[in-house]
Amino acid sequence: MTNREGALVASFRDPNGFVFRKDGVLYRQINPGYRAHYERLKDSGLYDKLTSDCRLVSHEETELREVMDADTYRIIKPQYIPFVSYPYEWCFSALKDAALATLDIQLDAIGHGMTLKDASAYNIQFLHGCPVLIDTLSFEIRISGKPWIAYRQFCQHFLAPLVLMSRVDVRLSQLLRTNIDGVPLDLASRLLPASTRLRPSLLFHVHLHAASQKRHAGDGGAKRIRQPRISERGMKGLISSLRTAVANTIWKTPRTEWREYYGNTNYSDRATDEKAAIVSQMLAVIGPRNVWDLGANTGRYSRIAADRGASVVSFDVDPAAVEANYRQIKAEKETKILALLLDLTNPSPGVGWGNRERQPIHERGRPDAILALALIHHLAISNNVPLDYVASWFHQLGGALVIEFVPKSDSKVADMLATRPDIFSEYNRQDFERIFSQHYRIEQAVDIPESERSLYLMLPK
Amino acid sequence: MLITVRTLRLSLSVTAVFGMTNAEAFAYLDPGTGSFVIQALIAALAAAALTARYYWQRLSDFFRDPFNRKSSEKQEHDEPEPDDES
Repeated sequence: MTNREGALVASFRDPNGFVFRKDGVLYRQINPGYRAHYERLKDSGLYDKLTSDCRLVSHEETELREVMDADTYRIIKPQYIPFVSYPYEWCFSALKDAALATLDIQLDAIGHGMTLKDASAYNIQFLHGCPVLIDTLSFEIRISGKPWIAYRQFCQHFLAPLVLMSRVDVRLSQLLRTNIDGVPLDLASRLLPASTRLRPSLLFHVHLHAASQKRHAGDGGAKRIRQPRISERGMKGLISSLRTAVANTIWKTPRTEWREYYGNTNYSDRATDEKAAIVSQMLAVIGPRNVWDLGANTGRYSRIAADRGASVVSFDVDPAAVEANYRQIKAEKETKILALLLDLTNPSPGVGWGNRERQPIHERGRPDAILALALIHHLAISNNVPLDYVASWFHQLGGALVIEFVPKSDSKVADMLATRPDIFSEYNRQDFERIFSQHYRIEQAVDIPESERSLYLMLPK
Repeated sequence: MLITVRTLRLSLSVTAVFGMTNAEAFAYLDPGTGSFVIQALIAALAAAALTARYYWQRLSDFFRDPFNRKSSEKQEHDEPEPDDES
């Protein structure tokens, strides 16, 4: 296929092939120029090793004769990734695990006579709770003595943001949203405290790396000088040094408002149990395969949905809550939940080339059901979002809705209104039902015992 | 001894690298000349550290138990693979 019809913008940089969608199925074309590398990947045993360790996405070779031509070497059908997420949506530990996975893959590649030609964080996705490389075309035959071409990209996509999150502020992960090719190292070097220069790995990989880039930035012109040669032992030492730098980053999660939420609610034990039972019963009515839990906190209700067999994307705005959720997924080896950082009042937009290289959240999937529990008052009152906007956006995302209404008489809402004038005349149960009925059909409304709150099951109109 | 000489040669070549003004672009990513330079330095230091660690281990093993041939044979097995430098 030469005209890239249906090609996804995310893969436009690679001359060796591209990803395209046909009849709703994702394929990857491999161009003839990549043949030798692909054969080495398969014949060296690297593909089998990485796929059996769940570190590289597996694929089938397919025969799509209607799209194959002289510019096609192979068309492969990669394993399905239920939800594509981006590094600015990952918590600290998820980004760290993705970084370590990339380095471990590179070490294995070197051992098989290959190397990663890129180290983009966007090439890693979380599948069944684990980071996997999704770009089969990332491998190339290693030429003895050649430096690692992707070293700079690794430092920008992984090491710099991790160190900034660990040493300055975890919210600096959002620099990845504004810098499509990772955090510039001169920026990272300026933002980091001087004490990081005392750690050899950070001194070399971040500070001296940034200084070296600056020193050679003005170089250019026609003069070509041979590249430095790096021995295999030196290459392994470089990767090992990066691995140490990444492994040494830690984030001690603060006791944030949200992370402590379950211990800080106005629910009695009975109300908590009843709420869980009602949510479970409503999910049983819907029978969703995909659930988006909006404002999931540490994922208590995501786990109820996952236990019912659904794949759950568990979104929250608090980095500490997402971190706690991710750590539980990892510790319990949970395979059905993906914990992501998302501010619902400013969700991930389309970024990169033509605003299409990385998709906005609503283009990356369509849930069969949305959970919006203990959320509506934060959107409508804390953030002044009109109820109609909330209902309309949920409806646009798709699927059935399990939503909790929290009235003004609830102590949490009363706290919110204690320091500001009550301008929310529509924020009452009757208007809530009326407004949401414009987009949904209310199937069930159940009051939660020993609380002021109610749960609704709504189906889209 | 061979490895020490190689490491010395590599270190010298890295010193020479700092005088470079440009590097050949050979892939679809722009690796950046500055990134190549610092990478070569780190790789050389890491290789030197591995080599130093190996010889230090051999030396300390020898003084600890100079007549234990078994230990010496085991070390032979652990010797780092030769560089693909030359």
